[in-house]
Amino acid sequence: MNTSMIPLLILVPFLGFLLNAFFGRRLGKSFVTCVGVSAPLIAFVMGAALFSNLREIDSRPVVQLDADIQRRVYDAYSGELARYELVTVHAHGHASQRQILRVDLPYESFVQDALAKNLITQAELDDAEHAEPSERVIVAAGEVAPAAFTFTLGNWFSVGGFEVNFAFLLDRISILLVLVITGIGSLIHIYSTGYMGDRSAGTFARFFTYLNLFIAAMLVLVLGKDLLLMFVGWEGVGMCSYLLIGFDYDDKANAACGTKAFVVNRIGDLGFVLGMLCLVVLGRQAALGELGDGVFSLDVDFLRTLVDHGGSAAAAGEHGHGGGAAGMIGVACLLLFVGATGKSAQIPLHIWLPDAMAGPTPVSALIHAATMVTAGIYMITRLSFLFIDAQVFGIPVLGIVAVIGATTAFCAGAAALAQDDIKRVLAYSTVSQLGYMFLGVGAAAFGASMFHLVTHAFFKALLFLGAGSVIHACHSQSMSKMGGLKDSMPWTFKTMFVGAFALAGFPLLSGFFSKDLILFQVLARSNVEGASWVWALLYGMGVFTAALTALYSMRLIRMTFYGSYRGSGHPHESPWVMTVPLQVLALGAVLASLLGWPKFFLPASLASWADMLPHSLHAVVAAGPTALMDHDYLVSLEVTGIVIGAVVAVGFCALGFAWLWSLPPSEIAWERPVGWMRRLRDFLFRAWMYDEIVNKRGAQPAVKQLSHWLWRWFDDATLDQGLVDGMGRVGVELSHMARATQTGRATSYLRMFALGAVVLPLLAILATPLFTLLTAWFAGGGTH
Amino acid sequence: MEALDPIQIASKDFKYLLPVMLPALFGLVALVADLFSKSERSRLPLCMISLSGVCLAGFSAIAFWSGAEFSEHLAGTLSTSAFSTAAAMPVLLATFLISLAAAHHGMPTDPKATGWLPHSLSHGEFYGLLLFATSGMMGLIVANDLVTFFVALEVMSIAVYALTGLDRARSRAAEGAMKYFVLGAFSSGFLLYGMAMIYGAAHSVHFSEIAAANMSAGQSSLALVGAVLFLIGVLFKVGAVPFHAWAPDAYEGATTAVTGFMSVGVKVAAFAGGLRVLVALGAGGALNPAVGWLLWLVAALTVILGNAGALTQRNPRRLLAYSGIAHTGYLVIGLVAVSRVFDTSHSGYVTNVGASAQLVGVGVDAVGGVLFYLLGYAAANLGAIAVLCHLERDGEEVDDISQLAGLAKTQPKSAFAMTVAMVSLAGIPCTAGFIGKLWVFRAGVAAGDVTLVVIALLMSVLSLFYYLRIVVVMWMHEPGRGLDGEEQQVVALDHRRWASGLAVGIATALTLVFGMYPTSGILNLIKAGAGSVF
Amino acid sequence: MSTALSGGICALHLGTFTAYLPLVFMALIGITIGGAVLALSKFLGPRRPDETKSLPYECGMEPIQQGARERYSIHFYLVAILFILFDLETVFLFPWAASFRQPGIDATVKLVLLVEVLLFVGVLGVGLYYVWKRKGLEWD
Repeated sequence: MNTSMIPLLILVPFLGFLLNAFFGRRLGKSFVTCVGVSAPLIAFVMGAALFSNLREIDSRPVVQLDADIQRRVYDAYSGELARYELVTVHAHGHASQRQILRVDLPYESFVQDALAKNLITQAELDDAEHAEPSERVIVAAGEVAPAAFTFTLGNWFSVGGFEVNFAFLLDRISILLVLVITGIGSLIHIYSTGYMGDRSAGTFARFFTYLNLFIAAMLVLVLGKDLLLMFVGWEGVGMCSYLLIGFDYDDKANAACGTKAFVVNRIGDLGFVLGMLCLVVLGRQAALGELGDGVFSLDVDFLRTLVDHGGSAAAAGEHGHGGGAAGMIGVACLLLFVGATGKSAQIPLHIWLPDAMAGPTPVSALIHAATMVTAGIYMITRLSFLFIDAQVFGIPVLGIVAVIGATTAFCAGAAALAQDDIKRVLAYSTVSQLGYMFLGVGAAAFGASMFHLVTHAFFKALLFLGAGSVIHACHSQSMSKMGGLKDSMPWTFKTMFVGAFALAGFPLLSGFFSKDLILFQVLARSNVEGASWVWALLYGMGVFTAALTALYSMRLIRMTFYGSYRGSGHPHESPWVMTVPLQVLALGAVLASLLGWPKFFLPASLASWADMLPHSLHAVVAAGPTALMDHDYLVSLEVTGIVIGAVVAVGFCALGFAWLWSLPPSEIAWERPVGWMRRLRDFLFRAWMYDEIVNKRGAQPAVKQLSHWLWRWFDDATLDQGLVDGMGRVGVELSHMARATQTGRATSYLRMFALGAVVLPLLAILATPLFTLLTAWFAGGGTH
Repeated sequence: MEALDPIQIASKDFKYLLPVMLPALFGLVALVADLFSKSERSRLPLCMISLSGVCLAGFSAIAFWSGAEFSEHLAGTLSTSAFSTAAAMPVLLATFLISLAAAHHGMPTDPKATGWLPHSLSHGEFYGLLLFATSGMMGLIVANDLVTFFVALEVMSIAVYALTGLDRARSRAAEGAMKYFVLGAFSSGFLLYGMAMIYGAAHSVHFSEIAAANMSAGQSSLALVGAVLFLIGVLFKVGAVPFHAWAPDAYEGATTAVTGFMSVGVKVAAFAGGLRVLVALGAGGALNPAVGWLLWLVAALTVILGNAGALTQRNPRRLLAYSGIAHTGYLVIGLVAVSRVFDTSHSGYVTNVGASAQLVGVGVDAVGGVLFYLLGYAAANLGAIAVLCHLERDGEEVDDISQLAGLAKTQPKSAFAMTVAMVSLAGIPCTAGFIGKLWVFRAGVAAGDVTLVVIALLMSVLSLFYYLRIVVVMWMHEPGRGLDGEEQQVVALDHRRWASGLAVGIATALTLVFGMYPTSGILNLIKAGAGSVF
Repeated sequence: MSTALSGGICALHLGTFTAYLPLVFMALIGITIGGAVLALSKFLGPRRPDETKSLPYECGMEPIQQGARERYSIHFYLVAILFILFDLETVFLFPWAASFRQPGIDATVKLVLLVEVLLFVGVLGVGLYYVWKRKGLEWD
């Protein structure tokens, strides 16, 4: 496999960006369409090729058997077909070396051969094959690190042992994101050619320029092996997000929304940077200390050894409780999580995402639903080995993540219930769903979170694009100006219907399995011995939020597609370039569930399909405490969770329909502008008054006061008047002195030269003896 | 008559001389070619001759010089290693970019005018002298004995004196050249006197034999005074306080392109040659701890005076002169660190027996820092100079930074290049200047001179003021409105000046590339070069 | 420096000074002899100035110029410089020729030496040609 395809993968959309940026305006829309759409498509094809390679390597025959059977097999094949290899295994947050036996035979022929030669009995084989996944993760001796491609383009810089490389890592986690970014990205690009079709050629080119740049930056984020390289992508997508939110910058409000997103993200990024700084400090200590060679970096591999080192040091009791290396890792993780809350719109930095809806709808679908906002979850999953045991003052960082996630999920879900703007409903829904993912990550269910990330990417992109189609038809974003569109926009309706039900977690659709997998993991977590009641509470919040999700999804469908049309004009179906992506995404929203059907749902013959995506990640992410639980107990919990999830989803979908169905919207108490419901709705419409609190009562005035104070006493008095002015004054005085010596007369220059030429040798000769004399004199004076 | 010792010279050794001789050869060609070119025609062929000479010298330097260890050639008169190549790069870069930047000097602004202005830099003399000086600089870099060192130094110096006064119609140029020449001759005297003393102490002029001589035993004061006098000569060339006085006047008097060449080429060559001699003297035991402290003093005075002097300058060339003095000061920190390697009282090691590995590591780091700093300084300073050359019209040069007001509106590319150059000179991250400063300062700290580095840091904060003032003037002032709100003529864009534009582009690109992605080739060369010095 | 030098050195090293004594003596002797010669000639020598003796040139001719600070034509310097150049060439060529004839130098070295001197003369020749073409040899 030629791993140089990895940087090419990034290069393709980047080339698209360059072409569109430099020639797009001049060569017209068809050129832009070609380049803009083909760039992510080509990247997708390359990603798919890499994926198939990865799978192929992963499915090489690896026999996982007891040691004595291994010896038998090895003797039988005597070194030609079978050999022992040392592999590095990254599991449970630790890297370890293990010896495995690799047999170069297709699995089936090996099994036949081994049975025929009596190397292994059928019973032993069954044992090996039916070993439970959770057990296998923990006890199987032959567990092998899954395939991963790394490619190092070269050294970026190295300063004092701090090495930063242009290194890329394509493993099971990143390929997932690559496929989502390029696959869903391609569909959204195609859709955009229709959505933005009526704009001028220059605007059109600008749009695709930004979109392609975004894809490239996002791929850098996802593929970067070094945290700093990841940060480059992180900032790159932030910039694209800013540019695209304020895409129609003629409207001041849009530009202001872009600025808001940018500023809020900077707060998060500060956390990210400080987190990296902590890791650098830690790495430097370790590199100068026990790790030896003095070379350190923010490379994922290095961080892994760092964690192992820190873990062992903590275990050896070299550092006090919560202090030293382990404590520093906790602080670093917390700071990185602050970065994640910024990028992934979690409390308290969630406020930018609803306003980011000022951007064109495909942007909302691509950046603010499917890809960029999931970067925080991706980052934590990528660094799961770092987060898994991280603690700050004895509080596990992942616990904080889970609490923040659940709170965000609940608050944003409630806020989505009261919105009128169709995109704001979806925006709050996105915040809420991201909260779910953080809840899952917090429960150390990284696989489940990534699964939800993928399914969410499908159905939320679908919903956004559908909303875009509706907006395109109605020229309004307000749901009170919509209604009855199911006949005039059949495809949009059908596809959005599927999307909404997937979002609501309706049984057998993708959102159902992924959301319930997260909730099941939280439930399981609350049953771990010694778990606090917090996990039970979080599970409760999750279920309650699922109910809210079902309600607002149904409300959206009801308000948009049923009843009678309340807007102006005659809306009609969008062109095929817009509906075809919708259909593909709808199909995806249904079929994505196949990536994670629970095992007990499937007949034994399809057992290998069970929990495909989450299980494929088991070996590359850290394992949480639930992995140690009794298997049967887990299954029972899973069934319970699924049943609860199904009942809630179906029940509240039905409730939603029943509640909202018969009456026109103005008749529904919730929508009516009277009564206590109105006040509650108003409260939720303003998203718990968070913006008001920040702007008027809380943070902003406090920050203003603080900044005024800082300005008055620190900046103005100390820095400006003291340090800067003082330094300036000293500098100007010095400058006058320097100029005074520059008389312009060659003789005075010569005099200066001669003086220096006499004084310097004299000093050189006399300094040592004089100094010796003085030292001796003082030493003598001291003794007498 | 007794036969002299036959000097063994292998004829294949002459290839090591190519990078030194090729510029001189092309200088002669340029000189003669100018006789045949009509004054009204374009001078670009001369520029091309110069460029090809530089490129060939560069290629041959890379091909023949880049060994990991110093090897001696031509009866020990030269010795070459990756250090020579690494030091030759900024020199050749200076010649290359200045050749380009000066190519359109004297081109009339009026496109209909025929013929070029008299006394423009595009004469054969300019390119000839430029290349002769380059030859001297290359010689200085590879000199392996005091005689070669002196000859190369004079070849360089005399050509540069002449270049300074080339625009002889301007009295300032003549004045600057005269001052430079008189003081230069004066300093050469000290240099020679120092050399004589070193020879007296070491009984040899060869660097390797000086390094092997045990001068600390008997001839310490002779060697010490010789070393200090020698260093005075070198410090004069790089413009260190108190031997800097010529620099502002000569820089201001000279034409901008010459200023750029002097400020980079002379400095690089003198630092490279000086470093080698310093190491040889140190290894031979000629230095005592006081020399380190003298250099310490010189470095501190130089950064303070350079930055302070630049603070209130409005003539960009004079500003760059003072800023060049300040940069010399930063670079002398590298020399301080190198001299600490031989500070026996620091480590308690007898010098000739061998300094501790750690101290040598500091020295290697310091030399690497100095080499990278020189490269970054060359790119940034030449970028600024090239912009000023680009803005020259009818022989009228930018003499006040007010003339740059609003450049961002009238010539955004030039303004951007100037900004990059200023940012790099100020040592702000993402530019070559930052990495260079970091490297040198780190070596200074490692050598134990924290106070000196703190002084340098404070002064580089001060330097932000005058560097960023130019940026502010370019980006925030209205075109045609100077610093005090006075009327200024707007420098119009001239599309025909592609050569100086190209120089601007190359310098800017290099500044950014070295700063953001210092390519491993360059870094390896510099590291190998630094490693070969000790 | 304090840490550098204070370590271990407590006694005063007279030897450090004695190393510099010759230098001091040399300086003293130089100053003494120079001063003494000047002083002796001033005091001992007879001094009877007359008008002729005070003239700039003692060869009996009145100087044409009024004062020595008049400027010469720049051409004098040019010619003088060119003269020095070719003068030096000759100075260099004589020892070269002498050593070139020495026995025992093998042919290849001789060839190298010949090429070297031809290069030297060639460079000077180019210079001469240049000066010639630039009309440096013409008086007006």
